[in-house]
Amino acid sequence: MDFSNLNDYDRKQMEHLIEEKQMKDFMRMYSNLVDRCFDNCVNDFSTKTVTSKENACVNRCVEKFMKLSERASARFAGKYFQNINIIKKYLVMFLRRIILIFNS
Amino acid sequence: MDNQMQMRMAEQEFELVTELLRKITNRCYQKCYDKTYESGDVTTRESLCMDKCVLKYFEVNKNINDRLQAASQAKIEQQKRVEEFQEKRRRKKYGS
Repeated sequence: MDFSNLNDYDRKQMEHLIEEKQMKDFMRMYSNLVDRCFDNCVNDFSTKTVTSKENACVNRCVEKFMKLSERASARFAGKYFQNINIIKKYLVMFLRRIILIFNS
Repeated sequence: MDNQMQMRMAEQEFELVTELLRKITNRCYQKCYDKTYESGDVTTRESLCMDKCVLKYFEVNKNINDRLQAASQAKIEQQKRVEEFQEKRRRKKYGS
């Protein structure tokens, strides 16, 4: 996946496409995370608002998933791509995703 | 042609890689996370578990790939032998 020999237009198109896919991937992960944390943490339906206990649990759930997910990404990048340049490119991609999440 | 094809291949590769990463992350998280949710911080145990899980997943992936390839290769060889045998028999019966 080396884009250095594409012209400017194609490269922009490719970057735009990748951005779109990353956004889609992020939305998917977000939805999955909500389901996961809801299933694990919210089981008390005597109240109609989320209790502070449930809230704390959800926070821990999110934090844990994000951190472990980041760890898996790093390991994955290292294993899947032996070449250091490719690793750099992909780490940037993954980091951008993490930053996107924490800025929203 | 080259550019378009290249872009399509890159797109495919990106999809595959993203999908693979997503699968690995979810599966390994499911196997490794501490169900008690004591804290949001990750323990050393969980971190190491994630590391090993990712590597093992790749290994299993490779093993299965190798096995399937070997099986399909064996099948091709067997088919070849059958065809050679049938060809020999045909020659014997009817002459070349």
